[in-house]
Amino acid sequence: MHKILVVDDDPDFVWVCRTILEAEGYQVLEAANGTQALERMRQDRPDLVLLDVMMSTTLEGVDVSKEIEVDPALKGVPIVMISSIGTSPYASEFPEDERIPIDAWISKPIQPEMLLKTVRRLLG
Amino acid sequence: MANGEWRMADSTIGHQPAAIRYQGRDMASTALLKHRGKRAITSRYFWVIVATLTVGILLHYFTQQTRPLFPASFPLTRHAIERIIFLLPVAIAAFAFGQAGGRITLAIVVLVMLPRVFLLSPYPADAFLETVGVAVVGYLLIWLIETQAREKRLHQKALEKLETVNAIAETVSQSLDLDDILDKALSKVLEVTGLEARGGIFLVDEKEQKLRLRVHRGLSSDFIHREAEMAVGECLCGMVARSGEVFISDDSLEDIQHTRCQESDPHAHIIVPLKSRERVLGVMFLYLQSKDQPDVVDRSLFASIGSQIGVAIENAQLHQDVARQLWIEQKLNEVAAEITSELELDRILPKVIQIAEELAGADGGVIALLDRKRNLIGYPYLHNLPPELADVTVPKGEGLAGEVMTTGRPAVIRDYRAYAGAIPAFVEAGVTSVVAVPIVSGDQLFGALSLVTLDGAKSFSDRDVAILTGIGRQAGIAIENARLYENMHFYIGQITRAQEDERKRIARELHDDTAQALIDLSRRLDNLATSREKLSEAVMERVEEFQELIDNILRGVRRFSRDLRPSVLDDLGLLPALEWLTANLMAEQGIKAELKVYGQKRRLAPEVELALFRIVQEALNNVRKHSRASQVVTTVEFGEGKVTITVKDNGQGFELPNRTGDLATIGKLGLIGMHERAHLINGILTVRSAPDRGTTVTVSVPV
Repeated sequence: MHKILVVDDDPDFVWVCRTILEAEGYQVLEAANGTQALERMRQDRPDLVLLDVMMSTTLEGVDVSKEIEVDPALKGVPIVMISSIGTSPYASEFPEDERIPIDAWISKPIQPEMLLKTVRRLLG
Repeated sequence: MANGEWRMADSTIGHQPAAIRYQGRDMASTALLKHRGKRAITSRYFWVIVATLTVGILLHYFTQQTRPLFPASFPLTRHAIERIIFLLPVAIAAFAFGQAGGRITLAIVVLVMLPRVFLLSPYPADAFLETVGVAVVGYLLIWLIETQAREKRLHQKALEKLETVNAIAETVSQSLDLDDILDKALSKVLEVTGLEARGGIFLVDEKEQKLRLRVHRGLSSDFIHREAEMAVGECLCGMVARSGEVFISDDSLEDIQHTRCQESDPHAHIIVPLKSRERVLGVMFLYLQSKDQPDVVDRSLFASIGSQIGVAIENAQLHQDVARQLWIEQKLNEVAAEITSELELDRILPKVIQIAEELAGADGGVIALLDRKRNLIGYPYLHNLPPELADVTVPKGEGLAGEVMTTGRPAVIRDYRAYAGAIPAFVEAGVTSVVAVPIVSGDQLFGALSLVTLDGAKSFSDRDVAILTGIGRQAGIAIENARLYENMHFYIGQITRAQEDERKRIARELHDDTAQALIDLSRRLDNLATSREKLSEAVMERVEEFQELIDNILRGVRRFSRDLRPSVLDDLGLLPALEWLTANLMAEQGIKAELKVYGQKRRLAPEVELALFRIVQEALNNVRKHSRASQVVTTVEFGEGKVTITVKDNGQGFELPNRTGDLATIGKLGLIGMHERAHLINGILTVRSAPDRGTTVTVSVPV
């Protein structure tokens, strides 16, 4: 059973992801911010991370993805970045020129089929 | 009793008169004389008369021998005593045997006295005058006694009649049921008159000018069937119904007016009009045993009996009218109640037809409605008529309904088959008579209410038409109400949809813009705090305060967004959204909430999922706010062509009002909203609750 870590400070969104993924037989781990996410990953390495790009915490999505890339213990864990940033007027705040080490983007509102398709693709 | 008469055979027992027996001249006059002579001779009065006459003769002709019997001191002279003794048998005979007896005795007295006048008396002139005097006084005595006797007989007869009439009156006054009255009246009349136990009573139908047989005795079934109805003026009974006079028919077979009701045996009739206030309400016909009897029937007695029964009939009819009026009011109230308690035309209008049918005594009914767009009349609501008539349409203005809609006035067609505007499909359905009234409300005309008979023609009365006209107006109000209700639902639907769209838009904006802006702000503060420029401790504290504040605002914005329109519903559909609701209820309130799903799970149309979600959300909100329940179970059943959701709690429940509309008055506006939501998706919502018995909300939706 694949373990998937869902990182978002919006508990409703986490609940939605859990419902979708558990219905397909995945094990779901939760984290409400970047710091929590890294801690959990180091304790229990997931097979995939769903990461909200913007969280109101000190360590948000992009930082977490960079940390994963540089941490030998976590390197290689597929990262799916989730964001409604494309529709947000604050998209300009996102560092477009930076290379972000992620494997896929999914936009909010989330489409269950799209999420599952992306997860299945990344987990082989 | 030379002519015979009706008289009481026995004295009155209590207040019931004994049977009146007819003692007619059923004997030949010679035999009668013989009979009376024998009876007179056997009477003790006869012998008293003979004795007094003998004494008179002795005194009259044996004066010398009888003189010592009368001393001078005696206050009366012999002559005076002699004349008194001659008058005595006359008086006794008049008293005992009537006028005839008195006259015969007086003639004998005069004949006895006359020989002395002409042969013996020394003063023949005086003796003649004395004899004439006795004759005159005797005649006066007879006249006086007879007059008194006649008065006594008349008095007795009047008393007997009164008792007879009283007996009838008492019988008919014991009931207000018309058939009961007629039955008892006929029995009593036959009993007290002692007539042959054959007869019957017709009632007059003034509108149709018909007599209808209502009760009968001793008549053959063939007669009853044949003569069940006849026209006023027809045959003897019809004639009496018209004349209002007692009629006596000597011999039914010989009477040329006796055109019906013929029976093989010759019989005499008494036919009595049953009148009240000069109106003939019925006719009673009675059979006599002998054709000799009719000559002596006491017409006035039967006229009085007829009046008594007539008054009783009128009272019973008035009572029936009052009872019917109450019944009509009750039925009209039922119509009003239907109209006020229901807003669904498919439920109201069939019920309206049924009640109208009952009121008018019709076999079936139909409501025709005008389709203004297509200018067609359809017959969507039928009762006791073939359902395929619902597919019939005719152009506006055609058919009886079309005529009624055009004129705006009721119409009665006694013979529908002969009606020029008859619709063949209705003729084929067996419609014979029709009454149709317009269905109007204010100046709006919606259609026509028609009642029909299927088995024989019927004359719908003016009263039927008046009542149906009222029902037509009630139906008009019902249709107008229903249309207003439909319009209201349409607007509610529009408003609800607009409200949901707006909620969704605001929820998205809050989530995507406001929340993102707050996150961005929080991130900038974070950048500020972690920047290379060293911030003073005081500034750092303020930055942390702001971050905490922003987090709180963010949580609030997300909650508000979620409450407005949970993304889970749009993202995942109804079942995950219901799971989310129940999970929240359990997490936030500690109420044991459970979701059970039966049947083949499937997604429903978005508007159906949204409405069902809102209904369950409201039901669970009620559980959370008001129920004091410790447990709630939400069950979703995916059935054939429908989905049913039940939310059942074990809380304190509440007293449900009788009508959904009254929920507002007890402050249950949420339940009204749930009903409206269900109605918008053609669903039915029911709420069952009672104090301390929990609450169950069920919504069933066709899918």
